[in-house]
Formats: sequence, C-alpha cells, structure tokens
Amino acid sequence: MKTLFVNTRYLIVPVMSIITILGLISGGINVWAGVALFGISAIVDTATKNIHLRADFDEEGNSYGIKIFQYAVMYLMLIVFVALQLALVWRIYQYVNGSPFDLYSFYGLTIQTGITTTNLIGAIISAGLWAGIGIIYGHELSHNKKEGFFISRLIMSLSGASHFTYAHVYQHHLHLGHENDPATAPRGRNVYMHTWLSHAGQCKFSYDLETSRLKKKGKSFLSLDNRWILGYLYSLPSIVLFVWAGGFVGVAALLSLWVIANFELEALNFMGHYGLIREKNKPVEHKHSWDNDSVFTDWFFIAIGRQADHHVRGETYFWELDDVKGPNYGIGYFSLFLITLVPPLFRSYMKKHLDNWDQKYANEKEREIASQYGY
Amino acid sequence: MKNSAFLAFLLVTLWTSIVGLSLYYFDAHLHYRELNWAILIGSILLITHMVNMVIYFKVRGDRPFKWDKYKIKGEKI
Amino acid sequence: MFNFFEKKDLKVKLIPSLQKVQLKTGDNLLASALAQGIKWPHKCRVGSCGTCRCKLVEGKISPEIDFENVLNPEQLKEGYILACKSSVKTDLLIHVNLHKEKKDNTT
Repeated sequence: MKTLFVNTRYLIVPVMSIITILGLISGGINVWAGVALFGISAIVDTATKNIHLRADFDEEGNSYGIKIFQYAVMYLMLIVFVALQLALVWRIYQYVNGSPFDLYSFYGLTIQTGITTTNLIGAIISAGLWAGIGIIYGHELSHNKKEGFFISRLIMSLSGASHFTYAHVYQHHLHLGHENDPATAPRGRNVYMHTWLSHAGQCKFSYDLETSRLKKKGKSFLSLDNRWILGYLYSLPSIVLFVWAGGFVGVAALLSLWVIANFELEALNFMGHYGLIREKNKPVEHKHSWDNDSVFTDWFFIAIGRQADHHVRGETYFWELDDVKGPNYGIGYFSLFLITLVPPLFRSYMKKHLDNWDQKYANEKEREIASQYGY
Repeated sequence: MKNSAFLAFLLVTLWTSIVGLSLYYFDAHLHYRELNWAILIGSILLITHMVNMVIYFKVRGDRPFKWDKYKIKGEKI
Repeated sequence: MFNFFEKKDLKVKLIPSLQKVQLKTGDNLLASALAQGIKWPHKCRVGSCGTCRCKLVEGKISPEIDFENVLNPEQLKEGYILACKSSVKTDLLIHVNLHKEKKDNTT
C-alpha cells in the first residue's frame, strides 16, 4: 500500500493535464478546464500549506519509489504535452475556419465543434498553463543521460525553451546564488523582469557554449552539430503546425502559449532562489535555495520544491528528496506564485524571510553582500 | 547602458518588421494552409526569433545580467 | 524468477588509498562513498563540474548523464567517469585521487 501511495501521489499533473486536453477536445466552456484546475490547485495548495511530509523509506532505508514507473510516466508526459498542443491547434483551426457550432458524442465525451473568441482565449490560457508545468519533467530529465536528456529537450522545445536542459545542469547548478547564474534572481528584481533575463541569460549560455565548443572542434556555428540551433529546430514542428492551423491567429496563439509557459518556468526559478547569495567559489549549501515542500506543492511539482536537498544531492531521485531544514517560505508554490505577481506585495512578504536568512543562514561575507541590496 | 538597450530594441523591431512585411508582401497570410508555405513561414519565423536573440546577445552582452543595478549601496561584487 | 530484480551486494575498491565501499547494484558511486565517510572530492553532484572524476579500472557502471559534456575525449578513452552520475553494476576497481585540488569551472 505504501509503495502504491508513494508512486501514485505524483500523478496529479498527468491526470490534470489529461483533463485539460479532454476539456479542449470537448469544447464550449470546457476549454477553460485547465484554468479551473490551476485555480483549484492554488486553493488546495494554500489550504494544505502547513502539512509537510518527509521522504518515505522502509526500515532498511530503501525508497518506496519505483524508478521504472516514475521514468515511464515522465517519458509518457512528452506525448501528453504534444497532445495538449494538438488539441489547441484543432481549436485554432476551427476558429479560423469559422466552423459551425454542433454537438457530437465520441465514446461518451460530448464534443462541441466551433469555438467563440472568448473560449479560444480560454483554450490558449489553459494550454499555456499546463504546457508550462512541463518544466517539472523537463527539469528532472535534464539530470539524465542520452534518452532522458533528449526527452527533456523535446518537452522544453514545446515551449521554445530547449536551451533550458543545458543551462540548468551546466550553468545553474554551478553558479547558483551568484550573478553568473541568470536563473538566480537578485534582491530587488521582479518576476516579470526575471522571466526575460533568466530566459535570455540561459539561452545566451547555451549559445556561448556551442560557439566555444564548435570553435574548438573546428566546426562551423551554422551546422546541425550546433545544439543551440538544434534546440530551436525541435520547436519547428510546433511552429509549423500553429502556422498551418491558424496563420496569424495561430502564431499569436503559439506566442501566447510560449509566454505563459516560460513565465511559469522562470517563476519557479525566481521562487527557488530569490535573493539568496553565495560567496564566489564557495560550495553550494542547503541555505542557497528556498524550500517549498508543503504536501500539495511537493506532490504536484514532483518535489521540485525541495531545492535545498536537490542542489546539494543532485544525484538524488525526486521521490527521495527530503526536508533538510533549509530556508523555507512556509507556503506552497501556488500561493507564493500569486504573491509574486504583485511585486510590491512580494517584496513586502520577502522582507522578513530575507532578514531571517541574513541572520540565521548567511555567513559574514554573504551578509555583507546582501546588505548592498534592498528586498 | 540605456543606449544599448534602446539599440537592441530598435534592431529587433526593425528586423522583425522587415520579416513581417516581407511575409505580407509575398501573401504568406493567404497561403499558410498549403503545407509547403506553412513549413516555409514557420522556418522563417523561427530564424527571425533566433536572429533576434543573437542581436540581443551581441548588442547587450552580459550587461543585462549583472546585479549592479539592484544595489542600493556599495560597490560591485 | 525475481532474482533479476534483486540488488546484489557489491564492493568498490579504491586505489591508491585501498579504501572500500560497500553498496548494492544500482547505487550511486559518489553518494555511497560519501555516506561511508570517504572524502571523495566533489562539488556539483549533477555531472557538470568534473570534480568527482575518477578512472574505472575494472567493472561496469551505468552513466546517468553524458560524460562527454565534461570529460574530454582523452579522459573518456582512458576510462574516466564521473562518480556523482555513475550507477554501479558490478564490483569495481576505481583509481581516484582523494586529495586533489578542486579545479573546475564553477563560480
């Protein structure tokens, strides 16, 4: 029973993603299902913010997590996210074609053809919100070898962020807490500016990495050996599909989906390390990451909130990451995400947490650096 | 510093506008349902985006990613 | 029938220090060594800094990340691996300098 519980509790996103897809296919008001599920998640996350569970191990210290099952789910999520885009593309096609409103039944699912402008917007937002959640699988698989790493690249390419897979492992994990890591937000930056700077910074890292690597190998930058270019090419099928389905409307829809998805991705980076400082050349410690490990956040985001343990024990599977008494916001990711949307509110909220970090976690040098910044 | 930000914005807008107007001139908005056209338009849009990113990297360099601008006191790290 | 899934007890012998690491099939090399008190040089633990690199003299591991992103072709040819991203499959003989300076590309 424990094994079943530990392994199925991380299926919240797969289940909700599939419901979102079914909502898009069903049509009418149901296309807003993704938005509704996001809202429900925020409510549940806030309501359960005080419930914290530890990682589960048996008496012999073995994890209950089944690696093959968890990896199968992560690999299959690529198909789910592709299906999500296909469902949206179908709706865009109908909108641009002016498809008539009709009702059909398909294996018990009522499908309404045709879509209004308002519902198309709902469909785009729904798809964008859940495409952005793909980061949790893109992140976990980025810490894997060939096949897993490649699947991560493909999942992230659906949001035009294929560079993430390289930048996360070879830049963020090395330079965390320092300005050489664009994914670490310094004190005073808001989530909107961070979304652009973190995205561009990680993209630049991947660009510079390939420029340097290909130069050493005596190869041209403009070649299929260029992993920066390849990453963008992985996004081409998506782009072509949206162009074909809706022309200008399709392009606008894809752009919106990418903006929403990347905003979510970078918001996670923002929340994970905001304002934390690591002195140059010093080891990464638990104190250099914020933990968000309330029960719903932990299960929904497949323990991505256990940043402190992840950055110190990077080899650890997500289901084995634990509470290491690192700095903690005390609320879940959904609740915190909503606060970040209002920068003055976020800074006000962060003041006490950063003061606490400065006093209880920072060493003298880190405190000195922190004193140069606001909140 | 602000000049390079404005320059980057200007070049990106210029390049994107040139591409957009060119696509319009060649009636891309009338042919997108033909698969060949969709692939061509998609490729052009992708290249446009990549060139925009490179323009930003070349013009702005590492400046946007420095933390100096958030300091309220003191010198550089 | 279920022996296939059973984790075998394995031994990793380190040279030149002659220290030993006891672990089971599939265990992470670096994590197991650190848990048993071996001061194995390491930093990032995600396979990106190269600090934990060592030479696989005998035995088999399963790499959990592409080593070629950090190790150069000569190192790969000589059998170097990254301990933090190596899943142990058989008994191993590993050459690792436990006292080396941390030289890597981190901040």
